[in-house]
Amino acid sequence: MGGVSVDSGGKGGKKATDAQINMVPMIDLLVSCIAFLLMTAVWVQSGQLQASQPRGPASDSQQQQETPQEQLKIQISPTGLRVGVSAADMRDIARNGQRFTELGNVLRTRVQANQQNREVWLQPDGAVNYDEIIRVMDVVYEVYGSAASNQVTIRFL
Amino acid sequence: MPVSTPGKSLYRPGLFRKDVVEKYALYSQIPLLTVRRKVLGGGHKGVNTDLNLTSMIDYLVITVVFLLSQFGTQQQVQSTSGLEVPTVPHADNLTSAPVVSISDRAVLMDSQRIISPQELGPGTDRIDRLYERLDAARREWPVLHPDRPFEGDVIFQIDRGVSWQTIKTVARTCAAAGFTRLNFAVTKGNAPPAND
Repeated sequence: MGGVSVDSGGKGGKKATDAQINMVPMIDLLVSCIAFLLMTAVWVQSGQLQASQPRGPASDSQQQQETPQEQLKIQISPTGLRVGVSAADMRDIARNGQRFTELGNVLRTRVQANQQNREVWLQPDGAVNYDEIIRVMDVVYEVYGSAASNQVTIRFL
Repeated sequence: MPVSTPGKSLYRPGLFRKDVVEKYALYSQIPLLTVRRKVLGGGHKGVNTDLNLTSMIDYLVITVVFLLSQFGTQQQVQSTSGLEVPTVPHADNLTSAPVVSISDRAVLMDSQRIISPQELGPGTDRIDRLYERLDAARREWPVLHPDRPFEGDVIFQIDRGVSWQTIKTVARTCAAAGFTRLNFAVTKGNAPPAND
């Protein structure tokens, strides 16, 4: 069974008028394509969280001086989080299972109070691991929106 | 009725009714075999069943098109062994930029080993080899991406357990080379519950 099978429909030497196309190879091809694509497809979706940093290898003390005083800062340490604009305004969030929810609530309050300020400065401690920083950035993304669409600017101290 | 010896032909004039013979003679003029069979009808049930394959082929073609469209829509960062990036629900789509991978074992740029994190001291401000590679990447940018201006994008593919101290050293080197926009690669999905 292959190709096109022709049925003799007419009398004598007349050319056949009805032809049947064999669909089996076509279905085989399609099923093979599906199997190949399913096996080679990457199902894990990658994304990115964007942040900016000052140009040049500035030292920690230099960066501290360059930090604008009116911007919202999130300090990340192994013991918890601190959120606020100034030292007097800082709010402590202890390291527990609900700290990111609490951070989200604090950020939402800040956004409602000042819609214009779309800049967040992150100040992680050297001992903090990457996962913790990303989780904080994710909360910022959740509250403010995407950095790629200029809804927020995340900067590192 | 007595049984007689059959002759040369079983057909004898007058054996079939005239109208039946005329009907068959008329229908034999129909060129399409399938149509002729339909019109004439059959005395017995066909043994071959025709399966309508149109819907099945439609379904297969749609599946192939869907899978092909899913194939190339998103850029994927090449996975590096021993590196587990964090999973978060809110993330942008990946951009095209040089990829710097950081794990407990090595710092890589575009899959080329640069340095081991253990070699980085607390006072290290810049990783020279990485700086050279990034500087070369910045100079090559207009050639490789003539339609896209250089905006200082670099993709950081970092293991979730790496400390900020290591990342900061690499980030400072990137900034020195002009790569000031850090894009942290993550996996899109539901984040695991936060640890205490």
